[in-house]
Amino acid sequence: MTLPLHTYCKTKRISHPTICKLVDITYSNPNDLHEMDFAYFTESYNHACQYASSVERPLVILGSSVPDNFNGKIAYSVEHPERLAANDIIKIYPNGRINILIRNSDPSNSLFVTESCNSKCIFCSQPPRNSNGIDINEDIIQIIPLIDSNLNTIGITGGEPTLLEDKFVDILHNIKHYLPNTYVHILSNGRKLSSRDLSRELAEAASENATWGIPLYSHSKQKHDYLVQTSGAFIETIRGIYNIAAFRQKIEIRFVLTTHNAYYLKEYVEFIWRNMPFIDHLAIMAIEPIGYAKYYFHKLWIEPYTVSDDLMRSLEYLEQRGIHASLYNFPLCTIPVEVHRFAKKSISQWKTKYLDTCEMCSLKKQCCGLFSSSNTVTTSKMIHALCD
Amino acid sequence: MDWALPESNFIESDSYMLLPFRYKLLNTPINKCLLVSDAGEHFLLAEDDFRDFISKKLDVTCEPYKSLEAKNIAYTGNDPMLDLIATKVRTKKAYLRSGPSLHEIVVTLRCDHSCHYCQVTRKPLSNVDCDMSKVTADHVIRNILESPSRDITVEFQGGEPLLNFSIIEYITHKLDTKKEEWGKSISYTIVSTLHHISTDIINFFVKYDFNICTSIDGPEWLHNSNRQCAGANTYKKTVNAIYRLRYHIESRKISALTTISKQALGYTKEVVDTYIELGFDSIFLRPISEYGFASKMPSGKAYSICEYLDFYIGALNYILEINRSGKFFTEVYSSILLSSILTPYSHGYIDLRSPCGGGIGTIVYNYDGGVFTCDEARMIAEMGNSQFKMGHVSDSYNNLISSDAVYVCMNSSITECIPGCDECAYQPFCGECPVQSLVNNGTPISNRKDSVHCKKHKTLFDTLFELLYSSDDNKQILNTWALHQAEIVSAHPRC
Repeated sequence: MTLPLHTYCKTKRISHPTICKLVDITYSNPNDLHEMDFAYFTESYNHACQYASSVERPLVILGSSVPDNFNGKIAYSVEHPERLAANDIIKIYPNGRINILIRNSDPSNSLFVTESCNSKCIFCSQPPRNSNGIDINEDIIQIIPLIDSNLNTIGITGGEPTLLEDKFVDILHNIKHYLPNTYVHILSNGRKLSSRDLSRELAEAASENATWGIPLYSHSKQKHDYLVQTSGAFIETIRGIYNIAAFRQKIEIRFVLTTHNAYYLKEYVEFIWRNMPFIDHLAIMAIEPIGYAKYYFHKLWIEPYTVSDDLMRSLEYLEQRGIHASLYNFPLCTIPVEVHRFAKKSISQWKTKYLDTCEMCSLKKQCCGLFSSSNTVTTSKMIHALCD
Repeated sequence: MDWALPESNFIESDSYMLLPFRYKLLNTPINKCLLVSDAGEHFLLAEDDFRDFISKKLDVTCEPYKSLEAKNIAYTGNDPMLDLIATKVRTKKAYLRSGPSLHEIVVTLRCDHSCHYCQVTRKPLSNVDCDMSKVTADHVIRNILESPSRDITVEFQGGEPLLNFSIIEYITHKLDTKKEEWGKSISYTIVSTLHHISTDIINFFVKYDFNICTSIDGPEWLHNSNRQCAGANTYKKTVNAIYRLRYHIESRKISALTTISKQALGYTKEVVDTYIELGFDSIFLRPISEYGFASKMPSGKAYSICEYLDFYIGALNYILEINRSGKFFTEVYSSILLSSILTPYSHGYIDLRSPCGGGIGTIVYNYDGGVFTCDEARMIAEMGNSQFKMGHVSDSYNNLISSDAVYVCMNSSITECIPGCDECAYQPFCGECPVQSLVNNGTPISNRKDSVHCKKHKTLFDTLFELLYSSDDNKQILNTWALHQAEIVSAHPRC
């Protein structure tokens, strides 16, 4: 079931966008609230009124009944109350829009630190809006201290986080400080890491629980540069990988399967083995059909079955050589059964969907499903129910 | 694509530059040119393509050019990525960083066997002055601890080392007590006929997690004929000892090697089958060496390198057949060579490095305290040539490692510089042995055409490349040998 990361509500006395953490005070002590916490009610109406006088914190009420004698900020009449939960971090806009920035129950939350990017991958699912200079998502600074320190994993993405340089170093320091036990997964093209100094600083700032997810789309310099639409990207990325590996950071290499590189999987995995056998993980990914990837879908998309053999051999090749590998975003019916063990439930809960056919499939539970953004054009033609 | 620039925009130049590589033509049935980069990556090109390649006529937008570039054999644009190549070469030479990690201790020259190919100048049982003393042992222990490598293998040899078991006990116990203080991690090995094992000795092996290495030359009749000991059935005694040890020690820690004598030639299947029947999963097919008694062998027992190679290749093909039928069984020397060809790492085999491992990779301590760059160096000293003697163990580690013997060894074995080796396609995987060269040809560096070592290895590499590219099955099998040798553990997908 897709559970989007936004909803709407009515507001009183919220004059500018406000970031807050939802703390369920239905059963807990109002005195435990902190400056940016919003008191959050799982039950509506009567309880809200009961607590209204004792609580001086801003309120989020799922129902429509607002306490009369309360003069603070209120968000109420939430349109989709099931999308909110305790310990979520949300941003409430004066017009009533609520964005859920961190969903505590979600295993894969991400912090978008910037929209700017120094690459222009032709299948980018989140194309940067054109801006002069490098923007930083100012919300990040507020969000980090609010995140529940029991959160298992947090992603850092963008745009390209390393463009923020020192500010990114600070962000990593903050995360290490407030969330010492949280696993950090950083998505970066690695190009600015070709600077040894920046790599050293970022490695020091990142915790030992950090992994860098870096895309490499080919063994061929010109093919990779083409897919990234940037000359010199391949060489910079390789140098970046070597630099942060030297500082003992964990590395995941990401390969996106397209018509342009699918036929050279064997050469690619040999390149990985001979040049970076030390990586922690390799992910072979299908494209997410939004952004540029949707626009150019017909020129990028390749049915996985057309390279079944190469997929099998390449994954076995890596496995034999001690390199952990996974398939991301491939519905199980589109890949040979021999590689099912590599497929992961990689699509975030809030953007997963299944087709009608999938209801009959015996493997539905283990399958990653489809992207909720996909339509009949941008979906594999091979989706079918599998029987045991 | 609207805004997306075509791939042709990202080709830095139509022409390319060559990076250093070595090559040779592989004959029938492969009939292709083998190219090998400085870092030991290789690629096959049809002869025509090879000519096009070196004449700068290959199309940079297609394979095979792209693979050649990915393997650093060519590049377009201005950046040859030398730092990337350097990292890979450095990985291949990683063994240079740690210093001597294999310390071989000859605890006695006494032996009760009289193997006709013996390379040790063994002494009879009564010669107890050929046993290592405690005084000498103390110096050995000190030298081992003073050497820089953190990870150490101590190998006890002889003669028959178990004839001086008390010294083995003494050294092992002392090293084990002091290792933490000196920041060392030590593993112990013994090379023995195993005829003298007892319950106490077995308990000792278990306590210190010993690796056991013994000799099985082949089927019983062959083994007994080669390895004689006062009329005993030496085969049975060794095999019984192996079975007895397997009750207490994991099978994988007990290995055996063969010495291929002239009598073995023609019995490849029998030799290999013996190992399989005895439950081993690998065999090490060593030829007779020319040192020790071996050089004094009557002509009836000597054989040529060609005869050995025929035997070896026959055995290798037989072993591959066994693997194809589903049983994993390797030949150790091929596995060593393959681990260098098929992985980014060095095989680390002491005898086959550039520079060779004499002194800087291994140190041999003789029973009398003489310190040598390798086993072969010790043997030629017994025959009167002390050129590769580092000194006496009472000296400091620093003095020993700075001796002329070590310098000559190093300088004579840098194959990147030896005429003939420097251009050989197999250079990144191979090495030379200055001691062998000295014995055979009179100088530590000899002409390649006179070197038996060269001929042997060229043939082995030719054979291995031919097997790798003759069938997918062979390629798969040989890859599993290489990965097994390199101790690469399979990565089963995480949950």
